[in-house]
Amino acid sequence: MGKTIAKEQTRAKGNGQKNDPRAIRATLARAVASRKVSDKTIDAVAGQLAQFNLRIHDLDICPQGICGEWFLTGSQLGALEDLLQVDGGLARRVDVFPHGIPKPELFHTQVTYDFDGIPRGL
Amino acid sequence: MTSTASHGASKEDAARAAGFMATRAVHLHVSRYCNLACRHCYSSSGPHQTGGVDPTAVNSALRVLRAEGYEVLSLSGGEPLLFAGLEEILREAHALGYRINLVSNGAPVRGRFLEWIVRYIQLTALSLDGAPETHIAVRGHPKAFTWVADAADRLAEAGACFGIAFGVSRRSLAAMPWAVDWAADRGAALVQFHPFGATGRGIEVADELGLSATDQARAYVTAELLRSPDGPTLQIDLAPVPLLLNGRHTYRLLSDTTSFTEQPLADLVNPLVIDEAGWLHPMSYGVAPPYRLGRCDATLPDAIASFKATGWRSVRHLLLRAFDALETERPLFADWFGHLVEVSLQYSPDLMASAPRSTSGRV
Repeated sequence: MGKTIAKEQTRAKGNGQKNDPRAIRATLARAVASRKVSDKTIDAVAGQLAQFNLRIHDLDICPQGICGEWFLTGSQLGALEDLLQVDGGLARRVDVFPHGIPKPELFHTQVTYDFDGIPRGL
Repeated sequence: MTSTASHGASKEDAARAAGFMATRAVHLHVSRYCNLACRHCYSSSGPHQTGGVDPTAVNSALRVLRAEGYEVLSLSGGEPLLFAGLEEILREAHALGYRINLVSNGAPVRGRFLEWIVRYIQLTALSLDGAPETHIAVRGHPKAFTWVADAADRLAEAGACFGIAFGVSRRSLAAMPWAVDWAADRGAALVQFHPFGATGRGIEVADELGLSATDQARAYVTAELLRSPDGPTLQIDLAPVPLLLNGRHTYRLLSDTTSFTEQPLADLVNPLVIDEAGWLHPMSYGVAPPYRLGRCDATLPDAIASFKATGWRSVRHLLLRAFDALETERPLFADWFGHLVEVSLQYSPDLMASAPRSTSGRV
């Protein structure tokens, strides 16, 4: 989401919280709530969440940037096109696979992004 | 609204749904008396307010409404614990099988009031309007935060289920993550984020506390990020507008049916609000007077029958206008129940002139 979040994440890792999903979520939440993330970015992310009623299943920092994981049901698969078009970031990879529960229309979708200001391998 | 919302539910849940609520609830505002006079209070409550509902009349109404399908009673005010007739109402509601929730500012949570909570209340929500400095400033009392913290500790010690009702304003938005940590540290089961609404006394501080559309988006994204299976349940009273529009079918008054005489009132009006004067309103405190269903007195059964016969048309009209407004304005998120109040106040004059009205128990 930008340089500020990258700094926050670096700080979180410096506190021994490397890739702890809860720490990442909390750090991002603090950055969003304290207006350190631009209005433009927030409107874009919130627009995606609102349009498709997405639930953020998980966030992680991986060698390729920030990974956002979403659960999409059949009617929400149209969200994929939007998820691939991230302002200020590049969608690097999308994995869609059955989540392993007996609901064929439910897929576990993982979208991997690169964001400006967040170097790979962070 | 997320935890109470049914718009994203399964087909089975949707069949049971009655509007955007998972349970059928009566919201009872017992009085506007309060030990605090918060700057943003939606009901303009305070220490100089007097009066309140008639407990005997309310208990009679609760019996009628239980038979009409309502299963949850949510108590607020004013400070409901300071209402003289509260125990009488709690005892009857409990005997009738209502699950009872209560919203408090925390100050009276001690002594016999704590005993009532343990005996009768399923969930006590403590109001919090930000980190300590902001909470004190908004509540206008130097001990306001201490009262909440002490109440949380007492409730936890007593083994009572409690949550935090966090008012999200321009000043408190940044403290949302802090609030979740604070609540989790004290063993709260729930954090409910409620966006500031410019109603009641809140109109006077709307410029200072009101949320912009992007602030609402920040609040929504923040709540999404803070959800954790290990922490308190998080609820935010903002819903994505596409989701609301897709869920309009959960309102049975918007179905093709034109006869509701055989349906329980709880399927048609949910939640049902009883104000401090005993008037029954559809769905939200502050909905304009022309939409009232009746009042807590001997005329209530007739008023309900009249509503099912013809009075439902006015509430249907309100719902249609509320959905139409969302369709036209297309904000990203909306506080649905706050939106209903705004629409009701905006359109009530022409509704009065155009919609069929019943007369029993109405003004």
